[in-house]
Amino acid sequence: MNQIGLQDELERMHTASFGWALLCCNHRRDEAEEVLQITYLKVLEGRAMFGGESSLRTWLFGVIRRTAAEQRRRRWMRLQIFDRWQAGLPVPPHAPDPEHLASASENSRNLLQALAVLSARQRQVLHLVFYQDLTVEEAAQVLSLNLGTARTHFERGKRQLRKMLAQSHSQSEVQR
Amino acid sequence: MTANDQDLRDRFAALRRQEEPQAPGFTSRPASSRKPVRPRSPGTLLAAAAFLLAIAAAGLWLRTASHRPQPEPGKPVASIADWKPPTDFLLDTPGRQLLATVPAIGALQNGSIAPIPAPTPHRKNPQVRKSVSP
Repeated sequence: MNQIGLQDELERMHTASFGWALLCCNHRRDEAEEVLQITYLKVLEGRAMFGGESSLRTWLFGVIRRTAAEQRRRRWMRLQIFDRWQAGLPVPPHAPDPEHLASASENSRNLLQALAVLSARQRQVLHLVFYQDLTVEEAAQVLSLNLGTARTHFERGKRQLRKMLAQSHSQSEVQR
Repeated sequence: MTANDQDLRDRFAALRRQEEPQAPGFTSRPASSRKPVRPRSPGTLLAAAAFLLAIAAAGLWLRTASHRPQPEPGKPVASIADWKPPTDFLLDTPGRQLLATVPAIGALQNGSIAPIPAPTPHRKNPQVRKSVSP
């Protein structure tokens, strides 16, 4: 695929890529945008090469996931070594961005809060299947997992998500 | 995936509809700023490694040269023959004087052992008296 064709494909998948980058960055918009820019640069400069073993979308999502992990590690190191170490504060747990949460509707907010309780792998598999309309096989490719492992994360994640959503639903009923 | 998953699918779809308009516009770098990526040849890498090694060696040499003690002007430089190892005192074991001389019983003078007296000259053809058994 030539440079122009690659750029067109990236543009076509841009919205979906942003959604996936948001999930990989715990719904922090700034981080997601940065990760997406770095990913595009990697792809367009040839530092990440598409080998054709999977679909372009699956491959691109894999690159975004790895880039987000790299950025997260860098940020963590910075926090751990300098700020947190000096202040003696604990590393913040996974939680969706409060700003993003505030702008979401009640249903979406419940979903985001329930997703935050799941493990990262479960959250990623569910997002890829339900949000990005990928199959479990494709999700396994994006996450570099065995198909069996991805299926296990998918089933357990669904069960856990339903449980959390039911809990939040009953809580909101009580409040009314 | 089962038909029962439709509830989850709907929830995620609602979230997607909400997040999609928030996506930033797709902007790629202008073509003028894009440089073609050339793979680095092993020769270039070797040259770079050799250059870095040379810089490191030069730095190390300069560092050791600056730390080397320089003789003060007008002060005589000590000869290597005058040098005594700092561990020389370990060789002075207790009782070394006793071992250096042969002790003579009853010849203790001023707390130290007197030197052995000079040996008396031997008699020529000494007569050895042999005992004769009966």
